[in-house]
Parts: sequence; C-alpha cells; structure tokens
Amino acid sequence: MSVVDVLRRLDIVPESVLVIRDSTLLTRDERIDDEDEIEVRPVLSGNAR
Amino acid sequence: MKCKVCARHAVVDIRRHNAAFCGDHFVEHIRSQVARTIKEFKMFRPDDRLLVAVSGGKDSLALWDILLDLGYDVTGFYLDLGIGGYSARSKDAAIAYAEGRAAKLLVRSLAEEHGYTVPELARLTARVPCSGCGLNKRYEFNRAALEDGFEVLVTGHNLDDEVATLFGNVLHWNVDMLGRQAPVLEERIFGDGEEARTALVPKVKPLVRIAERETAAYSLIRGIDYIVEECPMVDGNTQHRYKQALTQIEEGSPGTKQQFYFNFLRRAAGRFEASEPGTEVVPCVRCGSPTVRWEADGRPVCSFCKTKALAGRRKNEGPEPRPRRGRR
Repeated sequence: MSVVDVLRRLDIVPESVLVIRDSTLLTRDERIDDEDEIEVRPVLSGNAR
Repeated sequence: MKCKVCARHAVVDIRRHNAAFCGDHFVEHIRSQVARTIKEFKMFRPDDRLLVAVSGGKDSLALWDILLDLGYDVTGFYLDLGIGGYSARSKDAAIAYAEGRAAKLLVRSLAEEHGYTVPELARLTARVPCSGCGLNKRYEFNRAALEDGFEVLVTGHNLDDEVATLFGNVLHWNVDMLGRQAPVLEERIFGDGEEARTALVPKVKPLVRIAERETAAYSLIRGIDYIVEECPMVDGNTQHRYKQALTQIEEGSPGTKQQFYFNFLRRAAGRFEASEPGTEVVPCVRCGSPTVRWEADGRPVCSFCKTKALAGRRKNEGPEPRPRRGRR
C-alpha cells in the first residue's frame, strides 16, 4: 500500500502531515509494508498570529 | 519519485510546483525561495542587523537556520510566555538551537518584565489567551528591537499562516486588516527633523512563499529539534480550522493557497489601503509606543498599557472577582 492510500484509509488529508519511516521522510507514492512502523506528524499549527 | 535536480530518490514532494526533491536539493530549494522573497519584497539589506522572533517551533527555527546560512547578522528573540511545561520545553528548544549554531539569542520573560504569564493575563482580563499573547509578543518584540538597535524584525509566518489570516479577513470583510496584510510592514516614525524617532521597527515575513508542511520537512531534514507539540492554549482555534479547510481544498487543487495569497497581493491588496478617518498615530502617554488617537480622545493610552493596567487592577482585587462598588 502507498503512503497516500494509508492516509486516505485513516481519513487524513495528505497535505496536512509528514510521513516518516526510520527518521526519513516519505513521498506520497512510497510503498509501506505491513511490518513498517511509520510516524504521521501533523504540520498545521494553530498559532493565533 | 525522483529528485527534480539530481534524479536521486526523492524524500519530499511539492505538488503545487509539480516537483520532488532529495534532502539536499530540498534544502537548497527552500533557501533559494526565501532568498528570492527577501529580494522581491526588498525586506532588508545584507548588512542590516536582524532580530528573529523564535518560539522553538518549526517555522521560526527553520527561518533562523536559513538566515544564518544565507550569511545574515541575525539574533534570536525568545519570549517566555509562562505557559507551564509547554513554555519550558519551547525555551529549551530555542536555547539548544542557538547553542548548536553558536547563534546569539535574547531571552525575556513576561512574568519578569510585567508580572504576569499568558494564562494569568487571560484569567485576569477575561479574554481569550491568544489575544493577550499576540498583543504582548508584538509589544515586547518591537521594544527589544528598539532597545538593542536592530534594524528589522523578522517573523516566521509561513504561506499557510498568511492564507488562513487572509481567508478570515475576507470572511469577515475586515477591510482595515486587509489593508495591512503584507509581507513587509514599514517602519513608523514619530516627529520629524532632529526630533524624529522610530516608533515601530519594520517587520518582515520571509517565509510567505513556504508552506507549513515544507518548514516542517526542512527542520526534519536539517536535524532541527523543534517543539512538535501545540500550544495548549490554542486548541481548536479558528486559525487552525481555517487551515484545515484550506488544506482540504489544496489537496484537491494544488496551488490554490499560493494563488489566493499572491494574487491578493498583486491584484487586490492596494484597494484596501488602511484608512481610518478621524484618527492619528501618536505616542502612548504611558510608554511611548505608537497608538491611535481618536478625535475625542485627549490622552491616548495604547492597548498594551490598558491591558496591563486592567490585569494589575484585577490582581490587586484578590483571587475572586468581586462586584464593583462604585469608583475606586
């Protein structure tokens, strides 16, 4: 499954996060295996600036 | 995906540019985009002394990193807002970055300077925390620059920040705010001739071309240890909801945010030039900062001094708010 497939399945807008595997960023077409551990890091802050 | 420059394995894709980059070329791309923005909007000169507001988050630390790499004389400014563990951790991030790069950092604390923290101020004034926080940050940032002779103030507002602000201003037709929303806020001066002095130091936003996702990716690739957690006071605020909605639109139509903002600057901003008939910008009678005098207002006091005085009065009234018993 690709990064974008996983995010859509989780109902996460891909543009709103970074996906990280083993300290490396993944582009949205990257394949993710069942055993992979990934971090989905939100990037939108709510600063009232 | 392959890097647009070297065809190596890509780690970041930027859909609105229809491009992907390896780590090294992504860093180079961001740096050149920032350099282009500084030049295009004539933000500062190579020998200007810059003061960059740092929160310990990804945007401000990335900006500081980029300005140092571009060779600017840039000092960090961290304001301790007193928001419990969040402020402690964000301050640690700012100090750790400064030490790692041997960069200059000014640290100030609201509690030490004015006797309150942001949560206390919100409670005492019965206003949302973000309002008092923004007011104090703007005030302290300008004051620090004036006191230490910095020529330009630099903030880490990114494309998503500007787009969300623009969206909010359009939704509510805040025409005065639309007239002031620009990547460069010019210096304001009091008096003329030998009496002239700077009231507001010019303020610029070199990251307006960079999306929030890109400042996060930049920080990660550069190994910048920024504070990932959100400020606990802004949970679910309006700005965040606007960003989510706009990012949903961007997902379907990449480039929408950039067009909305830059076409506003090119085609519309000039139509909203700030005009407040019957007002005049004058020094606050208490602190000397610029404030607006309305025709009927004899002794103008700025919003910072009004807010601070209100907090002081309520603090002296004791822990429980009491009903007013006539004038004091």
